[in-house]
Amino acid sequence: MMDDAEFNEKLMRCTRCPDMCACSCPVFNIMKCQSVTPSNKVHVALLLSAGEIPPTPDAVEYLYQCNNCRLCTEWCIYDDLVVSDLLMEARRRIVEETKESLPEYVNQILKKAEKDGSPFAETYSEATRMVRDQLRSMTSPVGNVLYYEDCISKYHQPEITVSSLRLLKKAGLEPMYLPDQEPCCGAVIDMLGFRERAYWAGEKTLDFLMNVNVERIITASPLSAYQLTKGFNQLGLKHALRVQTMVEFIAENLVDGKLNVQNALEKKAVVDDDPILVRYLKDDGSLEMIFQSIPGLEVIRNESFGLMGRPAVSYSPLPCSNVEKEITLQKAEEHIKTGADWIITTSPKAKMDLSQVIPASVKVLDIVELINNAVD
Amino acid sequence: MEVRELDPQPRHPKAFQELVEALGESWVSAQPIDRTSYSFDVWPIVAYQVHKGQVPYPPDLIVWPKNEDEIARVIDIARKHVLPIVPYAGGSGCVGGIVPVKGGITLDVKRMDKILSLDREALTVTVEAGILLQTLEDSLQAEGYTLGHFPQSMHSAAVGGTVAHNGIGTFSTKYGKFDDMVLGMNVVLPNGRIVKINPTPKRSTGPNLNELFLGSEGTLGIVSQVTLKIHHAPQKRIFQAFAVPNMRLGLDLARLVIQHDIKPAVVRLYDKIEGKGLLFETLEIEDDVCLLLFIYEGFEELIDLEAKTGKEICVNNGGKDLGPDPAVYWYEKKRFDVRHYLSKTKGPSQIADTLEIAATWDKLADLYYAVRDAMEQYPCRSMGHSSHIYPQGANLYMIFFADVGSEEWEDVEKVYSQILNATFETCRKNGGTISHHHGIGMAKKQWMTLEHGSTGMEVLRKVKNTLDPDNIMNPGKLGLGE
Repeated sequence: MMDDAEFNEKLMRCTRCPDMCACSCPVFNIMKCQSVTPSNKVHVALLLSAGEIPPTPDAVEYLYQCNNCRLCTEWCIYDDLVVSDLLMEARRRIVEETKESLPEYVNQILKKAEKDGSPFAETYSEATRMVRDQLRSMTSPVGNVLYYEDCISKYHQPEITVSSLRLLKKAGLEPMYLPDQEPCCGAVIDMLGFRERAYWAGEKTLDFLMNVNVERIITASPLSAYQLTKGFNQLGLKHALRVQTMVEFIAENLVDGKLNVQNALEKKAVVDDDPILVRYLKDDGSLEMIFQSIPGLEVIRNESFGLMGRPAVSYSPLPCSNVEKEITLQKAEEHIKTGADWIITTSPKAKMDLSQVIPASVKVLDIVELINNAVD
Repeated sequence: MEVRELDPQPRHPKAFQELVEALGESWVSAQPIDRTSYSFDVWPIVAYQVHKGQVPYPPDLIVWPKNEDEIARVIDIARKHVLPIVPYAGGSGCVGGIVPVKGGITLDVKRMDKILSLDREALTVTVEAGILLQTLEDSLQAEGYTLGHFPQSMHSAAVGGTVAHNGIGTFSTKYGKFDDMVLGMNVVLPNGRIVKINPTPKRSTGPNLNELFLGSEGTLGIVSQVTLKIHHAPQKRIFQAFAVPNMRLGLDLARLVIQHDIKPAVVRLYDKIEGKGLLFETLEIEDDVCLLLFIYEGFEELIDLEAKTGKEICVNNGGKDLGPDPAVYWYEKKRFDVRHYLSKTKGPSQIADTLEIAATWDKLADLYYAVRDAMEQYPCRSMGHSSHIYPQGANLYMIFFADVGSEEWEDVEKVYSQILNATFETCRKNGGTISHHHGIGMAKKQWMTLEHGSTGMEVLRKVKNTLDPDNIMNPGKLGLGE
């Protein structure tokens, strides 16, 4: 957590910059309003912090107009300043100081997360239930590796879990899989500013991980991987568990020869870079290595900045639901324009969001599904 | 006025309601925070006040039309309710051009951000005025082309604003100024009618209407669509840097290169002070020299010859070859970096600005030294560079950092105004122009007569009065009346 002096100095420094990152912000590019450029959102945070404006829900809402993609860091003139982190810190302060100022939808998400155990929870469909029963039979009740199923996969994209567990087994692991016991990692409520509640969620998750006595956790969700490591660390929850994304796991096992690509995939694929994987966890080339390992696959990687680098996915539920959808639609159009047969996503949320808007002629595949096809 | 004092209720409820009916609820705002965000640009005088919680000139309403018809409807409503209209594109200007000095309606064109057509045969692109420059360049590069327009503000600036202030990019020596790039445009006039200037490479049909609207800063109409020249993306880039003992010799080398019909994309000559702050500390170059950078780009064989000849000219006339690194460093790390300027003004007693002037070669070196002397009569540090080169002359980008010694805003503003006055008086005495590419806005309007003379100003005022008799288009700018 930033102290007041550091927080205010960074806010001031950001607002002095003439919006050098404006073009990169997906929210600004949809809303077109100057108040939601990264620098102007920080200006609102500064006005609130200095007490220049009262924390009304209308004013506080500007702090939530961020999809946490960190694309603004690509153009930031400063090395030590991240707008989404400043906005998150500003939200935390508002939540702590004046809860009644929060926009209604923020409280609704919190209520859902606390009532249902996840901000994305839904009732399981019969198909999902069957898949999960099948998965339990593939996995081990004990062991030192846990496959942590994020809530999007759990409720909306069970096929990602199926492919992940298959890959883990192919690589010689006997993973534990305990979806009904896993608590919510708290990433989304942390991003919304509910630091204390995110701490409780994290504490509960850590207790669970300690109780099942594993040494290593593998997850298909970059957001969960981030929260279990850097997010927990920022909340003061320390642990020595090894946390891996499926991307890291696949890359490591391709190098070690425990996973072997056997099938050529004669397809053209465009990659939807996940902002958490690329900019929060700073993927060190694992993705590139994975794609290069598949013969026949023509891969289109978008630039990491500018129009083509804008993500399809929003990690903070945005106040105007149409903004979040528009961000995905804009990205979907760019993907379709490439003429690719497949869109390869690297997070369950991206697959869920894109699947809702992409026509049936283009297939959206998570990277674990892609590799599963290649190593069969 | 302080931000907290802004009334959340619309000041002109009838106009507000009519605008909502015309554009839809989502595209009209009277919110205090939006009014604050649209009250300033990068002009230090307003930006500094807003950062301190003040809002000197908030618009009453902000609208986001989606097409020319909606712009015309906004104009109708503004005329009916006698409200000024301030056209707004990227908001990245640095002379207060978009500051709603009389309140009224700020009309943001950013919803009009489409690429309407890309002509690969004619090498032109037609775009709506609200497209951001970076977004346009990304899209062109994805197709193998470039606009060649790379101002420092390109991540926040939009095409409409670039037309309005007649801007320029850092690669101007090869690709030209924005007025060289514009072939045609549509402008919605203050009476709601649309003038459509057909894009052709050249015409002889009376005064050039493109030139009338380029640099008019939204005082004559609202630019809605623009057709621009584009180029094939370069095959190759060559970087060069030379040390020169003083600005006079540096300007001479730049002149010799350009007058041999060699066209580098980038030419930048930094004086000893700015160069030291910007490049020398990192690059371990001897710090008592001026630094001359060149970047050539284009078709390989052509630029190989240009770069070879340019280098020979520089080395044979007193330049010391530093290799490519300083130019590569500028290209990769510094061309969009504004920290250099921002870091110098930390306290409330400090203010800085950049004044971009220009003159012909015969006057240029004298003008550089005279302006620095003029600035330094006041409590400030001055420095500068030249970065846009023509066969007949070049610009000078003069920078000052003032520490007034008083935290009273009136004192800071007074010294700021004195430095500008001294600079522009010196500039005119030495045959220069008071603005090469930032425009006039509010910042320089009081020196417009110095630039154009009273007869020139009369011409401009008559044009303004004819097109906008009610003075609703961006009043208080360009010195054309309040």
